[in-house]
Amino acid sequence: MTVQELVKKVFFVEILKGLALTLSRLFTKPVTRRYPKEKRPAALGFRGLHALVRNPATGEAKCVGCGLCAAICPSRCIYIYTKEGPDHKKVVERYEIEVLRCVYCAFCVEACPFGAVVLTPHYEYSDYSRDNLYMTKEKLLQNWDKYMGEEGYNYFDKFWNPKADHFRTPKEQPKWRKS
Amino acid sequence: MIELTIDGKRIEAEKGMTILEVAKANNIYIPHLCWDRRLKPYGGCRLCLVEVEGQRKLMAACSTPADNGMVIHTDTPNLQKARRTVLELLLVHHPLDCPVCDKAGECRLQDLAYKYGPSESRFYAERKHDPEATSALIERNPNRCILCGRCVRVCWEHQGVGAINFIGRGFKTKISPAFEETLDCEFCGQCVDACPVGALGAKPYKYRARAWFLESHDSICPYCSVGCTLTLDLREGRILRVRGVDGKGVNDGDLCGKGRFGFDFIYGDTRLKTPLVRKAGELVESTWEETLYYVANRLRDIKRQYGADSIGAIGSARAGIEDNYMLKKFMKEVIGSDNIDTSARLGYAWVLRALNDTYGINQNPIKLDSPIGKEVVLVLESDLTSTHPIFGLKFLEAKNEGTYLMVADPRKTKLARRSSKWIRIKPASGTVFLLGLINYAIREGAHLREEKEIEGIDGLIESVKPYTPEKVSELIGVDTEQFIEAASRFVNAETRLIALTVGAAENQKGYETVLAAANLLMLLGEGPDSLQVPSDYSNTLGAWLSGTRPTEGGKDLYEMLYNPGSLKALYVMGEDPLVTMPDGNTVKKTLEELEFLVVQDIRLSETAKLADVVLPAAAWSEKEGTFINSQGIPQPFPKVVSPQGDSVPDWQILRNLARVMEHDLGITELGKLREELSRIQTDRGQQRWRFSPVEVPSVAQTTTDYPIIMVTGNIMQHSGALSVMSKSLSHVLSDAFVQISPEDAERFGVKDGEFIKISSPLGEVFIKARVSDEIPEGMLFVPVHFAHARVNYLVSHSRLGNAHPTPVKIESTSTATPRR
Ligand code: SF4
Ligand code: SF4
Ligand code: SF4
Ligand code: SF4
Ligand code: SF4
Ligand code: FES
Repeated sequence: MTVQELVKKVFFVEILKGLALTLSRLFTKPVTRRYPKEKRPAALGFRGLHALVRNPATGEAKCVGCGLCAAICPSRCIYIYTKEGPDHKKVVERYEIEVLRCVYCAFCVEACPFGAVVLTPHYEYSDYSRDNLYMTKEKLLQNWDKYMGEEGYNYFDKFWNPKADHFRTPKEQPKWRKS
Repeated sequence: MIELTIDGKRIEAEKGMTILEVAKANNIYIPHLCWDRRLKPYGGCRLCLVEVEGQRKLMAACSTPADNGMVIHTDTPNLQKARRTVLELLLVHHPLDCPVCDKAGECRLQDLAYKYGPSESRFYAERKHDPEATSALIERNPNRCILCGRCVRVCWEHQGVGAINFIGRGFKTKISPAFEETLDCEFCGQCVDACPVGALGAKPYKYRARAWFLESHDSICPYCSVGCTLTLDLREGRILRVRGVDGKGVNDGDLCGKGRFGFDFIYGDTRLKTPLVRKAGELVESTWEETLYYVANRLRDIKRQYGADSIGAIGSARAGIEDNYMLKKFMKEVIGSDNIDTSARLGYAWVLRALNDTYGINQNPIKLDSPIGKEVVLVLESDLTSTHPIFGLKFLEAKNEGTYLMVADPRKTKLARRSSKWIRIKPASGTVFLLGLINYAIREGAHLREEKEIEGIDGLIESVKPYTPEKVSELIGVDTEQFIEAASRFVNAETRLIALTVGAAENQKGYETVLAAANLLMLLGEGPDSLQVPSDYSNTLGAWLSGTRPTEGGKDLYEMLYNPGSLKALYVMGEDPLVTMPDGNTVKKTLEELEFLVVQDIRLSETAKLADVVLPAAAWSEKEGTFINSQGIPQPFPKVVSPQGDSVPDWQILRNLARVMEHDLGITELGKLREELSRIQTDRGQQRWRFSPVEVPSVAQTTTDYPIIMVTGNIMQHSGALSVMSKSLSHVLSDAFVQISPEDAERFGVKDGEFIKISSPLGEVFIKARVSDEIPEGMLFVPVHFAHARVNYLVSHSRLGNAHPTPVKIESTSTATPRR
């Protein structure tokens, strides 16, 4: 041990250095947020809780039950049950997401040809019961109203740019040509 | 042999193959939409274009024969461009329906568009047909149709029906039945499988699932004895649809309506879910434990009081061989009785008896493609395309390939319509027709052609003496000339085949019919392979071979069911004698006189309603098992769904019952059972030809009181009493009917659709009449499937296995309601 080292040891130089930094921080503005009192707004395209988009024209879900989201979902947590409705149309009887198994990849949102499913910016949904985190069609539509609402369409178009309009049959077919 | 080069690979091929076939055989991919293995080349879609060196134009691979020295390219930039254009043109007016189209995910057009197609179209047009929604089971959506014609061709060329065709022109072209009427066909669904796109769909599957949600399992059809391989598509443990897959099973992808749509019988409303025990006259729900102890005690008591010989059992032609074998084992080891039999006794047993009496063999499995390549094929009073649809198709195929198809049948069946020669004989005169042929063959000296002398020839010559062409043609009701022409064709052919069915449900053929056919064939020097008589149901043969019949002198079905009082207790497994067996009155009397009746079934059948105890059994697909089809091939089928309610596989019920009766049968699991089964030796018998004169030719006799002959049988969409549980099949046909000729309808004042009263000396029933020119004058045809019609109450049976056509009387009863 050199003399220098001995002096450092005896007078806690290292520790005092550290404390000096601590002292200096006492007089600066804190960077942490006081969550839950203070909430951070999600950025555009944040992948939070799922919602089914309401068709503004009908008030119903936009989803047609094509099953592409369920096909692409890597954790296989989307369940879709369809049936033949009145006037022989396809109706989505049940649309369910087992949110606890979701990995928030948002593949479902990208796969949907109708822009009918979306991940909302809402991220606070811990719960004591698994059942509450099993999303049914009703709950998913409510999620849209709660967390996206009117704003949502805007947000959706801007960020996800859904291909729905390219998919309308068959009158819109000529529009395929980009002008 | 020719040699050609495809994509730089030297390939050998047979002459006459098309380029596409050669490529397929060598695993070279050429896209195609309108080609179908079973059909003639059509060349409609132009997707299979290939480049042939030295040819200026692109050639359609599906319709260009491969030639020696051809050099072919299947994937060049030029071809890709051509294919893209073809697709672009196909997509001009194709709706963007994929998200709601049930074909998505397995759609050929979708796949090809993905592979080659342009993502933008230079053309735009639109079709505005309405999807056709009114017909049963099959939906047509003309907007999605690419007019490849596969459905049209499969329906006509392969199925021999011709229910649909192109109508309209240009953009308005669509697939439709004549005059855009509602589809009214066999509902085999072959067109649905053939359609490469989503223009044709099975209604029960409509919007039920996407292709990628499904998991598939192969199984064996539970209906007829062809034993087709069905590909079951399940979602979350429920069967949603059935497909035939090219190249799979004895059927090679073909299916009939029963196999394709009839699977939903397992979801029928009448399925049993718990054991039922009769208490104070009512069947009430009970637990397995209580029920089995009750059954055990009763059986023990009866055995003690009346002896083991007073207990009998009836096995099932629809349960697996494991189940039937277990029943036999139970009866033998636990009860100690050999009184066991199946419905085969009424039909197929007689076939085997006749074969033994002539050829000396004990088994004669059919071969599905036996008609192909024969010079003359005679189908005798049998609606093969209804009872054994896929076997029936082979007759059409043979006809298309040049076989002379002769059909002797009073009914205008599909085979009769498509035959080379249809001889409309009188009902139940098939045997006489055969005897006439024997007589004719002897006159022609056919018996002298063979070198070796067959035993009993003199007796045969003697016995057919009366059946001169003149006499026979009078008896069967055709011109003598017509008869002689047919006879000469048949007798003088190089190769020939006789096909017929003898079933429990049919009353116009029997032992003597098969006997006559066998005699005729022996006389012409043909072996048993030329006589094709398929067994009835999925496991008729299996039940027989696994020993579900008296083997040590026990009582057979006739004694058990038609001899009231001969038994005190009866154990019925998966059979409904009250509906499916002739002379319902006697059967009912027998059953009512029993002290103890146990019925083990998947549903509350008519017989079960009389039972003291009803045990719920797991249905096909809810348990593993094995069927032996009429070709003698054992085909195992898997368990894919869970049993309904508390139902248990048949063999397990019997194992449990044996345990309760304190008997260890040594069977703990299916494997053990199968091991024992595999040790069963079946005696095929040695061929030992011998003529056996036919004694009782029965041309049905009508009297003034009973002036019309009633013939019973199976129809296309149903099979025994099982298929009526299927909702889909009931969509096509759910009510009993009797077919009557227009002449008789007029004579008896019967209107189409009204109820008529049919009476025979055995009883009377009320059934809806259908006037149809499929039926000749003097005949009624009644399907046997519907319990409420009680047709079997009118029909007698014959212990000699002879045909027993029933003369009946009919009365129009515009006001009467059916009596239950
Ligand atoms: S975000 Fe990903 S994991 Fe979650 S539901 Fe969508 S596809 Fe599935
Ligand atoms: S991809 Fe879109 S339209 Fe299709 S099922 Fe999923 S949410 Fe519905
Ligand atoms: S037929 Fe094929 S391409 Fe056409 S809508 Fe259906 S899935 Fe899509
Ligand atoms: S309905 Fe299907 S099989 Fe028939 S022509 Fe149209 S696309 Fe072809
Ligand atoms: S009923 Fe017979 S022909 Fe039809 S699918 Fe079943 S096994 Fe095949
Ligand atoms: S497959 Fe050759 S033209 Fe259609």
